[in-house]
Amino acid sequence: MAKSNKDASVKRSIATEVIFAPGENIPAKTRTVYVVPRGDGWAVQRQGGGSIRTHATQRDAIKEARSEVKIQSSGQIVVYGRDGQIRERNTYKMPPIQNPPGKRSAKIEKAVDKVTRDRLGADPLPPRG
Amino acid sequence: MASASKQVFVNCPFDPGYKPMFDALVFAITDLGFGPRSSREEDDSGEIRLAKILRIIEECKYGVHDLSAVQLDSVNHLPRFNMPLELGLFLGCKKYGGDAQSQKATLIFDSEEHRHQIFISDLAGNDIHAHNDDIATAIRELRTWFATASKRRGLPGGSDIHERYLRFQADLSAICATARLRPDDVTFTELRQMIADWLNRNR
Repeated sequence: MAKSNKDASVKRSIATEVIFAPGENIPAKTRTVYVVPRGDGWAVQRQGGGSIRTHATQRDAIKEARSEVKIQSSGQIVVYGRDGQIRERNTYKMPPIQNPPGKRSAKIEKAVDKVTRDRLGADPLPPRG
Repeated sequence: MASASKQVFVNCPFDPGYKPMFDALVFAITDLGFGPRSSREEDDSGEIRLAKILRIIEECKYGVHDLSAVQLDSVNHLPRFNMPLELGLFLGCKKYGGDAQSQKATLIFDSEEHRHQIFISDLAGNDIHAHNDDIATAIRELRTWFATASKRRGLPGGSDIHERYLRFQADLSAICATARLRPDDVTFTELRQMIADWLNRNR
């Protein structure tokens, strides 16, 4: 039973939605590929509004995001969870960003996350329980 | 905190007219994978300003110094000497600080290539980089200099950094509004975190 569920999940994950036309002009200088929650699935989206595909499972979306970023000479993957937190971030052939010294502001980090997620059209965060 | 080999002392004016250039340099240094430091950063030590500057200089391998604000003040008719003073401290630390400080590297900006010869001729023979008060030029010069000085491969290109800086600027007012901060009140420490957090999500 578990195996058939897995198979169904894999089938659903194959390019279920293409919002932007193939071959559209994706800015060459934008390199982040995101995985964000959308509806019941997970959308893979390029920085700058490039092609979006949705997958039924986050795992498959991450897999596609990895292959997308490896096509580029360099870039990064950012994976948002349904709670609005970054679950995974990987940089490829780019220098990592240094953590600033001193205390971090949680409200600044949340604000940057919200602005980024809003621009991507990610699902809004669930209400606090 | 970044190791000393990745920290950069940013010795630039703080006046409002220079802020776009200051923000752009802090952004570019961060995007290149280095950690910008400034005498404006907040700490709890309560040390006096000069002691704080000396400590930060000692902790930084790289120095980015902009002399373009060394000009007569319209009110007092006197030049601003903080930047040349801190450049001198940085060069002195490199010269007299022993082996640990001898690897320091210095980038000196001015608005025009030969202007410094009029007011600080002792710098003759040093390579002064002119940014012509243009942010794109400053970022390109900064990136080229860091590629040589750090010998690091894989640094992002100057045009890529500039394009990201413009996108960051476009997001900045929304970030400030969401964080309930007035853009004019954002401190250096807050700006540095905003830039690092934004780049970690939007490079």
